[in-house]
Amino acid sequence: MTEPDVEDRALLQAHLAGDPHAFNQLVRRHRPRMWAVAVRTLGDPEEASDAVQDACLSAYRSAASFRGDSKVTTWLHRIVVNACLDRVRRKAVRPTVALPDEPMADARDVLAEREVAIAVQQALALLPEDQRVAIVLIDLEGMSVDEAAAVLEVPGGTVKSRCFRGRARLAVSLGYLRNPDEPAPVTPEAPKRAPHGKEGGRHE
Amino acid sequence: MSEQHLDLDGLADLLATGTADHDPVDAHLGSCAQCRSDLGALRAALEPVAASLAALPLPAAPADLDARLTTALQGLRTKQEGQQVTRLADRRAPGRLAWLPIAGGLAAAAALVFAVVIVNGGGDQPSTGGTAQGTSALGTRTSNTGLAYGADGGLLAGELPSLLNGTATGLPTAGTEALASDQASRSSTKSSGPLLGTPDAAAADPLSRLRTTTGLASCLASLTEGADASLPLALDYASFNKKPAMVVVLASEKADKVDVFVVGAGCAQADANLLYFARLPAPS
Repeated sequence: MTEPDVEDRALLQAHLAGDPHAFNQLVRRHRPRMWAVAVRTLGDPEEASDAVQDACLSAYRSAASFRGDSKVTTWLHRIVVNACLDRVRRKAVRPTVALPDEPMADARDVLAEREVAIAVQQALALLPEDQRVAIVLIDLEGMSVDEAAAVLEVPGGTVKSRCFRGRARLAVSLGYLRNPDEPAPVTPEAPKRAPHGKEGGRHE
Repeated sequence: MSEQHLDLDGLADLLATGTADHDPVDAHLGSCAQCRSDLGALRAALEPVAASLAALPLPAAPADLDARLTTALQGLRTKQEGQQVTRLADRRAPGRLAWLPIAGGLAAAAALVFAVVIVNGGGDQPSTGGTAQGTSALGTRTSNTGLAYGADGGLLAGELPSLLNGTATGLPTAGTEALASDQASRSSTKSSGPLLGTPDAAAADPLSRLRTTTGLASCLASLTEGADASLPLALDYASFNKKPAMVVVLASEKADKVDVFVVGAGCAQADANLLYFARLPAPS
């Protein structure tokens, strides 16, 4: 058990024992990562805010059922992911694209980098939700396969498959790879040149 | 017979399973140059994908997100604490006055001025100073065995009509309507006041909302936490410490006991507005 997890468990136990401030402290510790998972999965900051709130309330209600067989952060991430997926399925919400708002250094690079970021976000939004979530957790949030598998409560092999399939689709969407499922483009043949010499059958 | 080439998902799965070895083994690959080429192209394409993802900026959280979460959690905490207060009375040992620091036992209980209306029975106000006799618009007559009323006509706490037939069966809604209408008919005989449930009625009669089907059902839901759709064993409108109150008798989770709740006019699903509780032996 890592030290941060020890502290998380202590806060959770204090909350269950009646400490009115413990759960808020737990949320403050993990809110940044919960936000990151939500906004990467949903794309829209408002939807992500609602999902994080839903997740916090759900965690508060179900705190007593935390079995302690995983890290507290795993448990919280699971709740956030489920809150996001609930929103997607309930509203049939297709993730939108949130424009990046960090300042860029070079004006000439701004447009290019911004365009790339938008393209990547659009491509992410088009992925099936299970592949998108796997990529968010592993490639964007830096989780290990085992940790992501614990969050999603699926085998590690399943998470890896979702991740690789999602990356492959991104490669096609972003133009790094021609889709092998589509027939290769046919290049037009050069016209046959007429042979030199007289036409007809005159022979010397 | 020509073999089917690997599609994008198939190629991705090969990389997922063979990443550790960097050399996925597959019978088809061994014989298919095209698939080997596609696999190599995919492997190469994943590098710029990883770079693009790594460079993806993270949108900033709204400035008020933390405050919003704090407020939402506080609201939930307040709601849960209110429900705990309501349920606390349930855990009291039977026979002990609970919840409010009411001085004395029966003496304090004598402040309860009520006559109990029995579901499936009882209705009219008991005669002052005597044992209760009651008929109800709902049906059978109550038994007055064991009833005792004080000089002011109030039924002493702990004395319940012996006819408590257990929870009523059938549609709760229908039963609740019958209860409400029974009370309505009783109320209407007293005065020709405003319609039940209206703001004017509330001004004239603070308990008017609890005399409607909806209001009564909402209050009962708070006492049973919505888990039990059965009707109460007994119900009446009274005053408690000179405040309008409703008395509800429910079957207890303890065998051979009944739970007596006295609730205020504000009783609703979100808040029982509990004024008094007692767990008493069920009449035989």
